[in-house]
Amino acid sequence: MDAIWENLPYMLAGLKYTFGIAAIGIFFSFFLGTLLAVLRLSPIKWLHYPAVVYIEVVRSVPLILFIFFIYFLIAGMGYNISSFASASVAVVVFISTYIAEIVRAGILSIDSGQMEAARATGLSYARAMRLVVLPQAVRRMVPALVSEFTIVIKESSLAMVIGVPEFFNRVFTTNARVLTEPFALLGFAAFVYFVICFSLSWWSRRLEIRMDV
Amino acid sequence: MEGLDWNVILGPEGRHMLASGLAITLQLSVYGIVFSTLAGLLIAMGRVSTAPALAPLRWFLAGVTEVCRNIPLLVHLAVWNFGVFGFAAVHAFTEPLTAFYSTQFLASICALVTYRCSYVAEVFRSGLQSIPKGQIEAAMATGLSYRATMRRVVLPQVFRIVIPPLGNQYVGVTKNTSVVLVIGVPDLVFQAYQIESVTFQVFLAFGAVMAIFSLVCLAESALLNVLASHLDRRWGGAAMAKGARPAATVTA
Amino acid sequence: MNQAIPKISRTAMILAACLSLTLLGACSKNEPAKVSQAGQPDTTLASIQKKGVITVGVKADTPPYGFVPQGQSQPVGFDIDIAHQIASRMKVKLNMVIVTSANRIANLKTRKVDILVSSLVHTRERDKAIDYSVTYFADSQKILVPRGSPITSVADLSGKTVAVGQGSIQEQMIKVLNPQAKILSMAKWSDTLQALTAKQAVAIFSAAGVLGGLQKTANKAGMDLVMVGKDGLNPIPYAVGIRQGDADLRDEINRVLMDMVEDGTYAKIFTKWWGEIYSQPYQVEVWPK
Repeated sequence: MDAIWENLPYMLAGLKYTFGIAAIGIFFSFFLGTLLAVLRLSPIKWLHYPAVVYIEVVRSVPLILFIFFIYFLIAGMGYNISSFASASVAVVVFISTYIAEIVRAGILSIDSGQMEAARATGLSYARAMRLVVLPQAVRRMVPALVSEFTIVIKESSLAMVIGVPEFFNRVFTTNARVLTEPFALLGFAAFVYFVICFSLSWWSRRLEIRMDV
Repeated sequence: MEGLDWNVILGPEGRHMLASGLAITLQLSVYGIVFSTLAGLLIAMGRVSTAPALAPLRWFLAGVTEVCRNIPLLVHLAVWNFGVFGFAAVHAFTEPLTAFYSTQFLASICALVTYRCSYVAEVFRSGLQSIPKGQIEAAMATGLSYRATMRRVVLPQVFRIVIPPLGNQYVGVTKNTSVVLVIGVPDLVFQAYQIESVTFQVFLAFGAVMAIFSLVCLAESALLNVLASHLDRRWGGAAMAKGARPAATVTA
Repeated sequence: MNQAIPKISRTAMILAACLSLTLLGACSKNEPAKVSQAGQPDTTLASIQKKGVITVGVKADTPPYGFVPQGQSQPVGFDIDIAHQIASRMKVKLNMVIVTSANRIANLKTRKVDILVSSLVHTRERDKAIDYSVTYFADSQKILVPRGSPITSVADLSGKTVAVGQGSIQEQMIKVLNPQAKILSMAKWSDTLQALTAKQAVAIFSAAGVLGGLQKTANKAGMDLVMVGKDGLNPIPYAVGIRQGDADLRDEINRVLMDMVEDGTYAKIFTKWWGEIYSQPYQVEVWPK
């Protein structure tokens, strides 16, 4: 147990990176995901099918491969990109496909009457989307987005394979240094993740209940 | 892009490395799928039970699934590999298996199962609970025994509902196997890393493995979708007109 | 939904086009060599001498070659001292750039650094891509085991599990030295200690430099580990990395290294960083004048 107390500040500081990857990931994925969702909903075949293929292919590849690929590719081209940035880019590329599904479901859940009425008042498709449909859809998407945020918090632990000093990497490194208390340290890591993710999913469920009112 | 040396993945050594990695990945996936299905089914059956005497079991299972689901896979992996499998007693217990599978391989399977079983249990639970009680009552009223009711009426409906989301979970297990290189299991991603560190051909080494994973996972989803439609046709009854698509599909 | 969704507006299409252009634009940038007044490109050596600065790629995560001690911000180490010597003997200022194993070769090739003094092992594969100075250090391979272990040499590892780092040279080496040994490849060298503690491996096989660092960590944690194995086993050569085509710079570096050996500076630096493991300084190749 001493190992936990002695290294607590070092380990908890890693949560900055954990939340950083998750926040940047979800933020940028939202835009990329919305773009993908719009492309996927489009009736124009040469926009729809590439989007579908892209989403299906990206989702069939594990995130850890994206993390390795983007990190080594960019480093191999000579850029001094930080591992944090590489991991964030990989997360954005991967998670945007899941966000695309959430956005698509959100848009589809808005009654078509809204779009018809908006078009009837003279708004173009894009403006109708932007001013009428998406604001309503985003409210509906929030619980699912919070839930996706929770998933990214857990997936951020994968960033340790390229050396991002996030929370689990720090716990793991501490264990490699202390060596005698694996259960205590790893149990501590499990506890922290549980507290964070459980609270977030509880909040997500509450939001879902509130939205249904 | 500098000279791409396709030989690193198409040459005999590269092919051998990728093949051995793929073998490990597929083995891990199969064991992970089988055992997490079993574990998930048991947990689900425990959670849907209504006997008041089993209430503590229900609470326990609810707690366990909630804990397992909120912890990242890497933490499961580390706890099993460095924690549980670090004890001499456990080593002695798994001694007969170590001739075929390394300790890390066994730890990986345990981690995959504990991570995935809570999701699988949820799938089974909602499947079991979605069958209205009326079905069982009506079937038994027509004279079918409890066993026959289960076999002929309840379980076919459960399977139909459960296969698509279960298929999603199975593809998830296959993707989850990619993290085991962290504890030293020589799977496909490990081999990609090996090839890259010797030849520096990032695009080819990781690109090839990404393509292989993509093919495996897409094939898996397609297979499960076929299974789902097949079951729909067999057990869907009047609800399934010819050519109708199932209610949910398996995606990667 | 059965409502026909109208064509998406031009805005979305422009957005998509911009996105694809950005992605396509992320290609390797190869800065051209600077061109002198006469129109002939300067050699690296000439431009170093003109600028009065040499940019050296060093490590900050690999003790004792280059690492950042607790509480400090600048890296120190064997390679850092060598780099300082190179710069002062070439009468230029030293500009250190921190590199990692993943990007050091690329940094050299794209001219972000002039030379690499970054625990760079001279391998035949890498020699196809870059050039090397003479070997300035060679680290022999040893085995780290708990005290009292029956293992004393590589031959004793037959049938036992030995831990190495993923992608390391030792991983390839042990397969050749003892094909009967079972290999456990961990993601980082520090993870091999965890494997040893969890009794998933009975030994760690690596260069004496790496094992020295691991041994210190283990001893601090209360584990008693010792290094076994005879000296001089499969030494791996470390050399300064230089771009292909910079022959004059390579000759200069070689000259500096040999001067360092002859006037005793090298021995001092060597003993400072390797004195605990090696009793004699490494015999750098010195050519007669």
